[in-house]
Amino acid sequence: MTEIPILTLLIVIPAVFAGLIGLMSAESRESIRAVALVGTLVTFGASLAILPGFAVGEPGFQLVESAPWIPAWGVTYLVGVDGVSLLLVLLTTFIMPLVVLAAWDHEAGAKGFFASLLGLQAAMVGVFVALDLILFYVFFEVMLVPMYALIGIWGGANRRYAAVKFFLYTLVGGLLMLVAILYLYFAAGAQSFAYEAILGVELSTTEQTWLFLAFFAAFAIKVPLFPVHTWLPDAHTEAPTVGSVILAAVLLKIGGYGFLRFSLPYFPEASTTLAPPILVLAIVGILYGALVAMMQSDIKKLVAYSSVAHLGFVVLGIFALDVTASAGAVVQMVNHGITTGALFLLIGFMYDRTHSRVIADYSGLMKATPVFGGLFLVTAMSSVALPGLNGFVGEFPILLGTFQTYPWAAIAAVFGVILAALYLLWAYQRMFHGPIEGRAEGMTDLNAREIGVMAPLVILMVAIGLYPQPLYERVTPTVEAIVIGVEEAGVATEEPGDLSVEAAAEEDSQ
Amino acid sequence: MTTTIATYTGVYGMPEAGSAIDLAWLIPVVPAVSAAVLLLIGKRLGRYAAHVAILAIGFSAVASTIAFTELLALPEEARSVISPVATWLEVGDFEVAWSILIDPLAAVMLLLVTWVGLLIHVYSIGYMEGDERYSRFFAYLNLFAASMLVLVLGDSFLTLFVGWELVGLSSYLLIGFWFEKRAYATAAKKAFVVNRIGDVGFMIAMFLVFSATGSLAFAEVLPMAPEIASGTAVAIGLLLLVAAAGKSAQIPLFVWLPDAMAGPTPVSALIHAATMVTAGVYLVARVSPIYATVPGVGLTVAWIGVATALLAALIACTQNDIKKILAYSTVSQLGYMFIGVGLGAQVAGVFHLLTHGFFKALLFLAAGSVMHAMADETNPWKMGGLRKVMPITFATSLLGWLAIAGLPPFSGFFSKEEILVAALDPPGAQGIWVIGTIVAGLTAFYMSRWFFLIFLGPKRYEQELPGVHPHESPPSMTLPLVLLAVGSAAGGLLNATPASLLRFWDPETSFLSSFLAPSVVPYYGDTPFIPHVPAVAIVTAVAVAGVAAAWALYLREGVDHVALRERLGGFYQLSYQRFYVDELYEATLERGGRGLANAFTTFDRVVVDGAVNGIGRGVAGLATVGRRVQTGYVRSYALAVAAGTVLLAAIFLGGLLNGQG
Repeated sequence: MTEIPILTLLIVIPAVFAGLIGLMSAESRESIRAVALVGTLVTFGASLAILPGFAVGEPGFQLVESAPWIPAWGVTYLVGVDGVSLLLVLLTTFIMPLVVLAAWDHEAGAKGFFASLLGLQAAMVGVFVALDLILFYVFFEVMLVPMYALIGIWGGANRRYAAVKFFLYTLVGGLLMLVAILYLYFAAGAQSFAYEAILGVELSTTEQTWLFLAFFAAFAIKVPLFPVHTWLPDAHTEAPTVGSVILAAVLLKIGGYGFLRFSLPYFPEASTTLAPPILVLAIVGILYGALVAMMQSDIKKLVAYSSVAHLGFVVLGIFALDVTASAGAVVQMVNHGITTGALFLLIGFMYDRTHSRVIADYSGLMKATPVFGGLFLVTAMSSVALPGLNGFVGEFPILLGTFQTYPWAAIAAVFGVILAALYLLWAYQRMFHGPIEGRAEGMTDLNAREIGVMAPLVILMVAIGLYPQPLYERVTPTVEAIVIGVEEAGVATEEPGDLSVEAAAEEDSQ
Repeated sequence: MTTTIATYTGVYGMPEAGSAIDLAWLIPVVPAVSAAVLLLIGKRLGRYAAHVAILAIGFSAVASTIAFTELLALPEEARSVISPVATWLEVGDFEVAWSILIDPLAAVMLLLVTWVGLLIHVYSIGYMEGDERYSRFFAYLNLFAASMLVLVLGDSFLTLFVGWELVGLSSYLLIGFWFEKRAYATAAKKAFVVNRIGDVGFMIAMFLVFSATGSLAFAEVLPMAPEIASGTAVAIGLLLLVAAAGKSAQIPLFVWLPDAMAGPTPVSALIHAATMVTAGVYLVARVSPIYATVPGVGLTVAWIGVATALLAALIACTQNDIKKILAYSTVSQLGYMFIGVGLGAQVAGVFHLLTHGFFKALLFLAAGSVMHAMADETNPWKMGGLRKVMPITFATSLLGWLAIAGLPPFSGFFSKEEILVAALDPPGAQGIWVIGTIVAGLTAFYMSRWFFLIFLGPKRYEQELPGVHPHESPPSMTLPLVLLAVGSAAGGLLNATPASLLRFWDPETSFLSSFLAPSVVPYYGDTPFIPHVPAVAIVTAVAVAGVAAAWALYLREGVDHVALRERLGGFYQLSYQRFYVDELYEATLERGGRGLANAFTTFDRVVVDGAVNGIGRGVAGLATVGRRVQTGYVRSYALAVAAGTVLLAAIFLGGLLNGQG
């Protein structure tokens, strides 16, 4: 244990700030948002303090903190990070100040709104650092409440339908996972709910399959994977801008994270046997999501469907069971968070001005609002995985790695690359090119605050695109250990893979 | 018989510290930085934006020249130099670095791209004067140049691909520069998307290369080429052909290029003459060690090339737009280059790439100069007789015309002949020679038509375009014309000597052949089915016939070309309507794709989502759906949320109590 429990602080700080906002007067909107900004900035600063203490090249958990919680039930407060969760924690803490700044002019119920954001942040960090399954489940479910509120209270016209749909879907998946977790402890004989304790549980093939499917349900819905994706377009369209940003940037990542953290290590045999059909679903998501995106008349819905396609690549990389592909998938989760988050922010800035998301309502934005147009183009290019920007350094390793284990899957998925260019550039052309018409007339360009929100995102797009090593050197050892674990379990099924030893040896040899 | 002459050594060295080759990473980086600066603060620089951009590309041109001379000073076997710059991607077994490869092939490309690029930058000062996005145009030009330089200097398939894609982006920006016009924006998108189709081939080819060799670096992959299983090598060769066909506008992916004339004319000169479109040819030449192992695939490349050359030349004969004629001419000439690199005569292909870079850049810029003088008119039938009013444009165009028509002793003659001579030998290539010879005649014909209608004959513009008073362009525009005219006229000297006229690619006597030898693996033979000299004579005679035909039709009084058009009827229409290729794609691919997308969208809403909503309703027992009920529905879930929260709170509480007890 380190002297300062950084990870716990990352959960506590936003929670405390959320409480602080709760104590403030609902009238003092300006102080509320200032407190929210300070809270998210302090959390981000604190999260950076993880980096010096995090040993690059170590596959296992670091900065582990534990405290007894419910010993009688084998439940512990146990948190820690490995390469995968590290990146997702940083993504979360990085995106939140930008989200607050983007919502700077938010008025309706500012107190509840900003408190929800901070509460949500605490839960999101908790999900990524929890190393006890009950703790994980608690954060997983707690997260639903503020998100439900964000969509249901501050959303668009059809917000209730969207909020309930979001809630129901996630709840159903979560409950299945809870049943599986309880089974692991009570029936399969795990010593405790601690992550590593469950790793040691021996399971029959049938048990593995059923438990795998229960976990899979929870995470596939989160990702979301075809055909359980339809909650996402509704949730995205109805959510307020910041809700969409958080949803895209962080919440969807919990699916991919769950696959890597639980599905593959706990159920290696089932993961291997069920990988091909899952890859098929991922490919369907990539191609189908892109084709459906193309036909959307609402730009926000278009981006929502593009998420289905992008996350399809992530699932593809994870279940390709190849180190390069899976590491690419983790980096792609970060990239998607940055890029799609940026797209939702931009759409939000536009909507604030004109109150329309209908593509046909716009023409000539590039001329009317060149800064907005330029930033949108850069972000769109990042989204279509143009080399030199971040999307490519995630997508290419995914495809290259997948080709090594499942060539057919990689070849099918590559066609998503054409489709991505089609739907985004087509929408771009309709809205940004041509003479200034419709709602583009008189639209003002981005202001300094909005440019300030976008700047860190665009800088990251370029920086990661040119030099992604800081991400890969932290992610790859962890992913390598996971993939090797799955492979070894395939060779000797009676001996579930040990994560730490081989992986460390593998690292030494590099 | 096909023989392989193994001059490719597969040896790659490191640069001397501090040499120009060592610092070659600056060649693409300087224009890239300049582009970024101009995008951010260009507006404030006003006219000086052009100067910044020109300085940047000028730097690259000078640096490239120094690097070239350094390379020349090295012993022949040490002329493939890799300078590592930084790590890029290291993921598991997969590693790719930001490294630069300078070898003879890269060096000649560098010179072409930077110097022709520089001239086009200079030309744009005058051409783009008064444009409201003046500084952005120069930013895009710089970005384009930087992208192309990354493509040329990349030491691996993947770094080449980075440049490849960035070229796609910058051409998108440049073609759509005047995006207010919807047609232009559509053309830009079309170029990007069609190129992406080719990119799929490139990407799958890289997957295969990596599977076969465990690397994507040229220095590791190319020496291993003979060890790649032939089935894999065939697949790689064909997939890279798809990629090259996209960038270099070959059948079936050439449709983007003619539309891309929407961009400002300097863009056409840059993209469609000297740079972007040559990338496919460069790629095939770069990986020639792979093609050398499977000559059948090379033959496919050559057949695609000659088919494209013929199709595009036939279309060019009837178009009535001076830029479109040049566009189809470019497609056709690229076909020639594909014949060269496909048949193992990479030097001939690259030679034609260089001479074409000169004369086609010249012709495009000359067309721009004419348009500048004629209020942006592009119909040659409204021109005529510009010889006297635009003497410099006329004189330089004359040289460009002679060069592209393939008349000796101008540059195009030598490079085109070299390519066609290469088709004399390999089994299965004789047809390529015959068709290629016909295309030579067609080329001479349509380019003569272009030249005669613009510059000679009566001054039709006096009636057709009242109020237009053509004038010669400013020096910033004519100077590049003059310099390119010198290249067009004398470019043949790069690889032509008296000896090589009789027997081509004589590595002993011709510069380009000996210089490029370490970069490429030629696989031509030496038993031509017609001796070289008569073959060259035949092609030249056909070209002269083409010029004569154009003269008879368009200059000499008395022959009625309108009547001829009527008599040709269907054939004329087929050519004039560009063989309906665009219409065919529109009817099949576009409509099919849109239909599929529509079907999926409906499916998503009705079936996938419908099922979910149905289940939702069923579970909740809400047979009657009404506003009130729906509100209740929401409330009940709000209640569920509350209940869940209470439950969680209970667990927390239990934990606390337990902890204390």
